[in-house]
Amino acid sequence: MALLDVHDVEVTYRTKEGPLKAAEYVSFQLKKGDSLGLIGESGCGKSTMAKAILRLLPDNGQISGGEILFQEQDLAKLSPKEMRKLRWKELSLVTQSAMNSLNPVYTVGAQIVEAIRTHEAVSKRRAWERAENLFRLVNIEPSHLTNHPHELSGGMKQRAIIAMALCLNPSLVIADEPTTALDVIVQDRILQQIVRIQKEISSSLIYISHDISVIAETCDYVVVMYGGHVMETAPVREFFRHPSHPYSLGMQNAFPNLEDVDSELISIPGYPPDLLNLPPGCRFSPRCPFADSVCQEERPELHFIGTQHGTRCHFPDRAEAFRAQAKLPETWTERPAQGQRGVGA
Amino acid sequence: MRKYIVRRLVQMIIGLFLVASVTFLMFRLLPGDPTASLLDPAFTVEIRETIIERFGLNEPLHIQYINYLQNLVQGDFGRSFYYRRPSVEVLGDKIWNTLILMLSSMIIAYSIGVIGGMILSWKRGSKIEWGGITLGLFLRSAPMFWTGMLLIMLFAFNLGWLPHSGMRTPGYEAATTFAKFFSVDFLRHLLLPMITASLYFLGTPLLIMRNTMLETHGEDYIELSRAKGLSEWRIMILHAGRNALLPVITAGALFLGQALGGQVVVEYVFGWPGLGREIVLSAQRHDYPVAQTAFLFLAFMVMLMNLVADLFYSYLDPRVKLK
Repeated sequence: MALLDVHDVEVTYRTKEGPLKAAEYVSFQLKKGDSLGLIGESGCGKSTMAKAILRLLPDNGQISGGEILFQEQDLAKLSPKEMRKLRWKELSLVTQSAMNSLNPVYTVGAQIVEAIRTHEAVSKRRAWERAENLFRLVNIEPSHLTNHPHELSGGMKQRAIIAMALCLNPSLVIADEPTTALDVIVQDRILQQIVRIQKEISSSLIYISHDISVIAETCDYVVVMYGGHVMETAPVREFFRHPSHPYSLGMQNAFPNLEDVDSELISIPGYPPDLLNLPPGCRFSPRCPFADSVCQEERPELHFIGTQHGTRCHFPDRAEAFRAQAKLPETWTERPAQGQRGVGA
Repeated sequence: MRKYIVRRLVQMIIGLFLVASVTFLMFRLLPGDPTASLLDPAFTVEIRETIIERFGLNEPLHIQYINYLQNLVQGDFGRSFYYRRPSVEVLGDKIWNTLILMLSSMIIAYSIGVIGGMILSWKRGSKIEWGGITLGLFLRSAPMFWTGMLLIMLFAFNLGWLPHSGMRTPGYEAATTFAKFFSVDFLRHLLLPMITASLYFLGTPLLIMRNTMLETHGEDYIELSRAKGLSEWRIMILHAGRNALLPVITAGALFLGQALGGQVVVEYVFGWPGLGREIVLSAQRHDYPVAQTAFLFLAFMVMLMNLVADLFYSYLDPRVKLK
């Protein structure tokens, strides 16, 4: 039984222009101790999924369908009070902007102690000692616990938040682009720390990023999202060896490959779809070089081509041919993507 | 820190000197004869001149000014023309009366205002918020004499529960200083003016708190607090509220400085022998020493409260460093 089983989840935001479906038919599983990378461009629904799992959607957002089974209970149906007990204790979050995620008026230590004491009946002193141990775990001098957030560097703040996320040994940590705001060297060090600690305390991890190389380094599984849909899901090796969805192919082209330094970077022309005005068929079809008329009319199902490898494409069996063609820059430039927005703008 | 306070105190002294000079000139520019209240028309010219000389009013303006400043530095604020007593003594009793009325009203208004503002912002978009804002604006714009009169009409005349004016029942003699301000009789007199002033003061903290708190809603640390599983109350008060408190503190401290100078209207309506009423009376009587001392005190209080607010700021927001 998976620790987390997200099944056909749909998230809708009420907007002035009408309901906006930020995520639809999103399904994935995560076993205990495993890590899963959720990847996609900005606005593809990955942060929305993180917020949906934690039930932290803004007031105008709601989980409008599907179920989020966590430890065999549906998070979407829990009362706010039940959810509150679960938060941090079982499900914690490393936020996108560590810079502003700590309350400026309290010391870092006080904020960690607060998290511990909200869920466990321990003395302040005991909680503080635990915070000290956590700081050692993430390589910060425990004396920094008495500092206010503004007295710490960006990297230290991010590590303090990681320490806070781990303070109750949660079963699942959701890290929402935790290293985006940091420089590459600090980023890498923190990344390795997250992975090491996650294995150590054997918690599961959902790592959200737009950076495919970060996911390759951190995760066991990959879930690719595009326009609110899961496009491809696979174990990480399988994903990098046999990417099957044209979007995944395009995305891999767009990142530098260390083994093949000469390969040219090819970007996918066009823009992600407008969630208020979605294409009726496959959401990637307007930008897809292999798209057929069926792609523009019918929504593809997630076809499983391996036990754990699924692709939301009408032509899962043509993946081999796609892979070969996708390597050629002409494939992406020749065919002007239909219905793409913002061309020449 | 100490350096900062010393520098601020020096600034205060310069400020007070300026205020003293301006008020000194201002009152002398007013039309009317200050000696009118000093002198009986039946006095002979000689007596008249001796009295005028005794108060130094025969000297040219600049000499009077220098004398005034000299006395001021020595702690002599001058004698009241009207009461024939040192002006500090005259104002001394009034200051306490005002202090008690204003402090109690401010504490009530700001406690209710801050908590109410938090709730209004937390319930944004609801009927509660709409009602709260309307009430806040209404109280803020209802003149104090009007609310005061309504309360007097209701509680003093129609229901007869509370006295309508004054500080004590005539003939009541307090045995001790403590009893002077904490007897049932005094508290009964205090109640109506206190409520009137509180209602009027309430609007400011309520609306400021709501507005600044609205800005904290989208902050990442609020979202993280939710993710931490904290209760809504805890997030509202300890996280959002604590961060939104600063502007209210500033407004409150500055206003307190002013309020301690007395709120003329409420003191008038309720016949409260406070500082505000005394300032108006002394200006009417051309009682320069009392009026000048009162203004000086007012300026001092505003400056002092300003300093207190700044010191409090660095405590409330650790990012504020005093230099």
